Formats: sequence, structure tokens, C-alpha cells
Amino acid sequence: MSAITEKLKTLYANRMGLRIASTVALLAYPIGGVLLIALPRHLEFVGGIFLAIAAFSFFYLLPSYVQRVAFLPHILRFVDKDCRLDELELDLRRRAQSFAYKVFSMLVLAGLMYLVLGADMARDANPSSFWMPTVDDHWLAILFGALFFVLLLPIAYLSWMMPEPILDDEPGDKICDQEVSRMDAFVMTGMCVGLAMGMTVFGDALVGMFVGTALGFLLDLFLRRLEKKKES
Amino acid sequence: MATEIHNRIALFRAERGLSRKELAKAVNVNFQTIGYLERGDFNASLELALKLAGFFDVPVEGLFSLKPFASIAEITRRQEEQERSSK
Repeated sequence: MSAITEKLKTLYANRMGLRIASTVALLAYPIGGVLLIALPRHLEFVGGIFLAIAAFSFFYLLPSYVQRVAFLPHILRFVDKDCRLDELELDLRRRAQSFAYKVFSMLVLAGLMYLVLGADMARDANPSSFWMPTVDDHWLAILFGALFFVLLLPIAYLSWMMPEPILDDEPGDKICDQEVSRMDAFVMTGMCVGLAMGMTVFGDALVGMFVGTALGFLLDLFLRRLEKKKES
Repeated sequence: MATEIHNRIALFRAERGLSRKELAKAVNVNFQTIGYLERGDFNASLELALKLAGFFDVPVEGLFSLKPFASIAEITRRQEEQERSSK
């Protein structure tokens, strides 16, 4: 098989991987959450497995090209002048964010309607007919779910709707469709790990998130400096 | 649905012997964008259309059109017919 066909196969496999990961992540989080609530205590781990699958898929998507198109931080332009989106990518970002806004708004509205109905039922006669968030863990799971969907919906849209990748006609060209945006990955990983550490170890989720994000950003800047020194 | 805009970017690029990456660098876009333009997946903004026309040194309507461009074979055949009729 020719090298070009091999490269194209890799490109399409990458795109398919992104599609599967984004869909799995979007489905696995709510399923995991529902199972954690619905299953008896000794079977809660099944819900945990779904949450782990969602997290794994999320971290697979973080360094992807579609994530870069959806969320390339503007701050990167100050660090790296070549790191910018062109008009097609900006157009795709607008479409992805518009789609995500519509879907997220509908989900929030549906959630609020559920809460209003649940509160109404609880007041009337049958409090057990509607599950309602009662403890901190429930509310945190909802908060994480909202964050998760805010980040994932534009990525999922782009994974499915971006035009199929094109191979450059220069021999020996690298595959650009899956190029890694390390800073995004570091910052978002730092944010998530910081949030988790803040909640469990330090006792303050916001401080943990802030520190994690800052550390991810600084680590990337430090590595960029090292690379530039090596090059020079 | 957006109107389909036809272009001859691939033809001009091949004529100049340029890769997508080289053309992309000249007009300051990602090389994939040039590929998507050539394939008709994406319509260029006016700014990019003017940049491309300027780069190839042709009027913008020579590079982009709302109607499909005639093929090279068709153009050659018409030219030959014109030459024959003028003789």
C-alpha cells in the first residue's frame, strides 16, 4: 500500500477516533451519573466505570485539532505568533459554538423544568416519585456535567461536521489533522486536576482550579522556553 | 444553503507548480483551507478571494465564478474552432 494511502487511512482513523470519543464522552457521563444514583451501593462501581470512560474520552480529545479549533486560547497569540486560526477555522468555531449554545440551552431548560416539577411534586404528596439533588455530591455532579458539556459539545460538533481531512501534496509532509496543542491540554488538564484536588485535598475547589490552571500554563511556557533554547 | 462558488485555484496552483502549503503560506491560511477551497467544501471570504487573485495576478472573476468554469479541453476546442473560422 502506498505511503499516501497509509497517511489518508491514518487521517480518517484519527477523525473516526475523535467522533467515537466525543460521542462516548457525551453519553457516558449522564449514564454514569444516573447509574450511581439508581444502583444499590455494592453496584455503584458500574456508574464509576462509565464516569471513568467519560473522563478517559475527554482527555483523549483534549490535545486534538478539533479542540484547538473550538477553544484555542487567545492568550496563545502572545506566546506564539504562528498559532492562530484562519478564516475557515474561525467560521467552524462560530458554527460549533452556536450549535453548542442551542443544545446546552435546551438541556439547561429541560433540567430547570425537571427541578421545578420535582419541587412541586415534593410539596404536594409524593416526594419519592421524582429524584431531586439533595446532597453536595449531587450538585457537584451537576456542576461537573454542565462544565463537561460546555467543553464537549463544540468538540463533538466539529468531530462530526468538519470537512473530511485533506492531505498536502508535498512529499514527506506531516499529518496536520491531529496536531497537538500542548498548552490547551496542559491548561485544561491542570484545571480539571486542580478542581479535583481542590475538592478532595485542599477543601476549596475554586482555589484548586485556579492553581491547577496556572500550573498547566506555566509548565507549557517553561517547556516552550526550553525548546527555544535547544533550537538556538 | 450557501451558494456554490466555483474556483480554479487547483488549476492555477498546478500551473505555478506550488504545493497547497506554499500557497497557504502566501495568503496566510492553513493548508487544509486551500484544500477545502479546491474541493468546494468552503467558500472563501472576499478578503481571501482578493488575496488569492492578487497572488495569481488574475482578476477575481478569473479565479471564482458562480457558474462552473469550462474545462481546459473545452477552452482548447473553442480556441481551435475560432482559429479555424477566422482562417
